[in-house]
Amino acid sequence: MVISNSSVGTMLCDSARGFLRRHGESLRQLDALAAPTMPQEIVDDVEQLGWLNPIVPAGAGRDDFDASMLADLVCCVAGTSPALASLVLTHHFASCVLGALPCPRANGWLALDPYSEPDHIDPNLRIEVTDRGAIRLTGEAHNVVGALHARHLLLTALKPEGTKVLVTLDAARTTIGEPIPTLGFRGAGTCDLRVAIDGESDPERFNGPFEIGCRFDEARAMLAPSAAALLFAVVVESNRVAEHFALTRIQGGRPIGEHDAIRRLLLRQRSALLACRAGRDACLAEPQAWLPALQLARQAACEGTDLGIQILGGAGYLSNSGAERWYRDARQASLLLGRSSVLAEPPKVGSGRPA
Amino acid sequence: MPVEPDNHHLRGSQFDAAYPALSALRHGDAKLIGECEHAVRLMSEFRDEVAAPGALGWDARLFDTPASDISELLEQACRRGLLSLAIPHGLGGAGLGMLALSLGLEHLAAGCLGTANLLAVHGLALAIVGATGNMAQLQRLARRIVEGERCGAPYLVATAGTEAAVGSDLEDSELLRHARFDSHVEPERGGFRVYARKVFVSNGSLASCFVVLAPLDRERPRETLFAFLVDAETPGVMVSRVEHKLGQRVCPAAEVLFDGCRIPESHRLDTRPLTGRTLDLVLGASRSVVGAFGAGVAVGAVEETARDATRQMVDGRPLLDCRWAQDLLAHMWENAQLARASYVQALLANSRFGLLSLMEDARIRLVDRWVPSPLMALKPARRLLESSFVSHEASRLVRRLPSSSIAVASAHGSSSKVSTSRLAQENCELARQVLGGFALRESSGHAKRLRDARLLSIYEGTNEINDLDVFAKIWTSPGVEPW
Repeated sequence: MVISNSSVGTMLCDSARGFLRRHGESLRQLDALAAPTMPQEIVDDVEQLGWLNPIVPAGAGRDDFDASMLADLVCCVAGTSPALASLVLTHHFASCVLGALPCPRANGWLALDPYSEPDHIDPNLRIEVTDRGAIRLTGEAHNVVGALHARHLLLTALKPEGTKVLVTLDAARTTIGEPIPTLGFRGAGTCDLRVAIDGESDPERFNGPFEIGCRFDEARAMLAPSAAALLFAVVVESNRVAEHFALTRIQGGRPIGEHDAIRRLLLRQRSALLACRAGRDACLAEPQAWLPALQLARQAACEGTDLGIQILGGAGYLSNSGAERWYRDARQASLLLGRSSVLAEPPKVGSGRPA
Repeated sequence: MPVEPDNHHLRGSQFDAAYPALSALRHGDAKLIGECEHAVRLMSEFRDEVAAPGALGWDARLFDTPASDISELLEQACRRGLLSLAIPHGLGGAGLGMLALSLGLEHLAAGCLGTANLLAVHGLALAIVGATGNMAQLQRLARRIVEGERCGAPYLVATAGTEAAVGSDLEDSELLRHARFDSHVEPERGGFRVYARKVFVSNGSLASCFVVLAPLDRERPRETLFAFLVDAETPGVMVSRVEHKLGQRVCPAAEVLFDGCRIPESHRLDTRPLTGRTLDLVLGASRSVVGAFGAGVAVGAVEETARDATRQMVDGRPLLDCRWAQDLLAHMWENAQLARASYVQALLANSRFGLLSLMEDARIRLVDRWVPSPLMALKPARRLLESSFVSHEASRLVRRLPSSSIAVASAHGSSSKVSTSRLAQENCELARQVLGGFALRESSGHAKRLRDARLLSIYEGTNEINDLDVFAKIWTSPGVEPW
């Protein structure tokens, strides 16, 4: 499954395998809970392994970014814990957006809402800059992934005239709620948070407001291979469960994998798996076509994991079957980086509510 | 000028089979529409006041502990008489037909599919009893359901068919021939001993009575499969596990152990083995009801997506004003209409050709409406209804149903179940595409609806088994014309 051929990429994947040997069991158990938080020792280990290191140097663009390395890392982790893979991906999404901002690079975990489209959706945060340059930032942010571990948050806010802007914020300056139960990615610690800042100007704690520009689109192009790789890993696991079941479940005197209907379902699932991989590869090969390529991976992953349940029948619906979690995670993962329909809209970068 | 039919056009019963919805007008019951409106009103009120407001809370509790108490929900259903809606007036129920009940269930499923299944699933067990023609047991169960409802202690009947190695095998006669049953039944003086470990028993942990499907000879399951009635209080009955599952958690799926349960001869529902014909009769009706569930989910998804789309702002305007969102919502609405049409057609086909044609015969229903229920509760009436003569006549009526009619009804039920489950799931997926991250939050209700809907293409036979049934009934049944 490894696609990067650099020594750094190989090193990252090796470190991921060792990491999963240490934490795999704890990560798998998170899925049995409604809204767990990622254990701190795992979060710390990720940081120590250097998985959060900047992939895009400050001021650099897409040309300096080897998207395949992160895609390999995400794929490797997602086979055990899509939730942790999504945390890492979200961090790098924020990092890619921040990479081009004229502000000090933040250390440690970064968090943002990876499901909505901050450059399109009007935020519930309001920002005002007074005549003396002081900032007043109030309101709420939703679906922020990684907020519980993050040092800094990347948020969008609405100016009084209706323009959306970017801010970075010390996570300690916000009130972060309990993790929200979500369809998939149990353990990613998705949270809502409340912000009430009046007069902040310390650049260690607050930066902005910045114009959004094309930063999100560029970051999505960089991260799309990783999002597709996550989906690919999820379908691989769903297929593994289904093929095992098809070999071992006997019906009508023979394994169900020999029944015509199940053979067709397995064939379709394998096709979905390959389509998912093709989507990931296309995201890498043609970054300008990242959206249709990612869409291919999304559709394939949703179909592949749906088939994963169908092949198991009633057993697939049970939580201990190993099939239903991939179904949920695929659907959660297929919204990472935003909705295809919104992103396919003609760009309205920097626009907002009419004054 | 009236058009004269010629030989190239569908006529008579063939026309009825092709267009059961129109055929129903020909044979229709004048009170049908009023009944349907009544059922929709009842179930919608229950949805809005009880099921939907509590759905997310129950779902979360049952995620942590699948065997959590849901008696509050069932008590509310009892107070509104929802468990006895389809039981005849004469036996104390509301006497609603299956079409009316299904329309009501569609509206309940729009708010909470799990609750709709919780209330409807014992209908499957009752349908098996009815299809065997055992009127004595059917009436005994009906009276208990009504009594239980009146005193707030719901009497639910569950079907215990599936085993660890026997799933969809039960729903296809060729697979049944090779099914590897773990259960067995030993005849003994005056009755039987039932040994079985049944899994995925819907309402298994709540049921007061089980219809257990098990062979007398495990080597010949197709020839020796019988249905037995086992009271939950019978020594040897034990709920060994309630499953953690993806959705529909309010309708618990349990593993139930029958460890040498002693039952009298009268609790074997028919002295003849269950045939594919009996199962077709039952599944034709029950799969049509699953069709109503699918339509409910499809409708609920589009209603709530449209509502939530007014709250999200995209580039200064409500999401609902975005052309792409409008396109997706229109597609969802179309799906919902298709789902509705599909299951109503299937139910009408079953009312005309299948099991429901016996249960909902216009003459029987007329008698049921006009004969006061106290009269039916008198001893002589009860003795007559529970007599072997009535059961014998009912069995005879079931056996007289033409195989081609049963095939048409079964095919419509299976087809509806497959198509509505697909449409329901598609609408849930589209809701996620319209609403984005909001729909992934469990608190939005959209995630639950998606999880709940996923079971639609699995239970009552997987969609693949249903596809096999459609082909077999339409293209290989003597006397059935595909068009």
